[in-house]
Amino acid sequence: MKGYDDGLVMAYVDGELDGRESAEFEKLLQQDTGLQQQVRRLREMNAALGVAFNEAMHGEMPPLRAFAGRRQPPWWERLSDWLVDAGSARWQPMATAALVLVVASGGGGYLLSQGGESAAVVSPAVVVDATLNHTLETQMSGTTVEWQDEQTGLAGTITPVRTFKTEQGKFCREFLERQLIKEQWQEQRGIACREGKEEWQVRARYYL
Amino acid sequence: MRDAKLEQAMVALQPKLRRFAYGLSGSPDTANELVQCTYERALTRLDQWQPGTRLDSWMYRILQSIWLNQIRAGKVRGAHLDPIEPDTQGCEMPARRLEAGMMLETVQRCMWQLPEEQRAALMLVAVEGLSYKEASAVLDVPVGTLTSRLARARMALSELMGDRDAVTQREVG
Repeated sequence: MKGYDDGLVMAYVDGELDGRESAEFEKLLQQDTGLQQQVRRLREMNAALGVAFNEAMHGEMPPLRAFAGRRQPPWWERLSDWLVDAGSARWQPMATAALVLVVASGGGGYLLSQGGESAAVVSPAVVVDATLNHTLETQMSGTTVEWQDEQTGLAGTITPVRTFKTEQGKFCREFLERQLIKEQWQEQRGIACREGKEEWQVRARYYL
Repeated sequence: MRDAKLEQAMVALQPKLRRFAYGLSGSPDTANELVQCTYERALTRLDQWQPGTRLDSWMYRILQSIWLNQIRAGKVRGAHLDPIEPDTQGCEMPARRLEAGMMLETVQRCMWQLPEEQRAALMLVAVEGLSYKEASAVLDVPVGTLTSRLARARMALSELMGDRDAVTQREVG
């Protein structure tokens, strides 16, 4: 019953011995009923403790305050995450399917970057693309950059909203675009992912 | 996107965190409040969480430090231990009264008589299933300190439980 290092018995029961140590200990264990009793007592205490406190794991969990003020990610954010996750090869057909779904549901609007002609906001594409690439590459979230297109007389702003990293390690940014059209500001949002230096591919544009 | 997954993983830990908090505080209300505070603090410190390390260990650590601060500030002193009436609620109980339910209650009661640091060590290793290394990181002590707290906790607990053989001879579960 004595003569053994209590720490060793404890380490054995707690699974802290490596394979060789454990095998050596078990050899001793077989020959010593006192030691067996020590091990059994410790195991039983562990089991009793586990059962005694497990009740706290059951029953309804109170809603977490820390998340209470947080919005659920809106559908477009989840959709864009899903699109980015799906990978570029599968992206277009899926996005088209999503477009059909969204339009059919009648809630909000969803525009793909290549579907420009149906867009609510007419983009002077070249100027916007250049400004967008530069803004997303260089500006902090929350900073607004203005642009103007002298040919069309259109003007607008671009504001990166937030940045995130996909599981593939790609950086993407959500941004807010405003354009002054017929003296009215039109607003739409988008998500673009970085393909290279000052090269951002718009994955989705949408307005709410 | 990763943030959403991280949040999901955090929320999934709530039952385990509540169990740990209950083990530390001995009060369901205090445990719930501790868990709430743990999430609030964790969210403000998300940048300190290192992907690839154990999320639960990180949150246990936050919870444990909030708890210690509360104790130090005297905010919960004594509140977690109901006054014990020796004849009905004693930690020691005659062997014949150690029916399964009673026995578990007794284990809890005895646990809360242990010093704070020993209780935390025992909860993390025996209940939460952390390795010595993980538990010592949560408590911010060397492994040697952890194991000596653990050994003292176990010895004290079996002494508190009174008749050692009454515990060992009884089927548990």
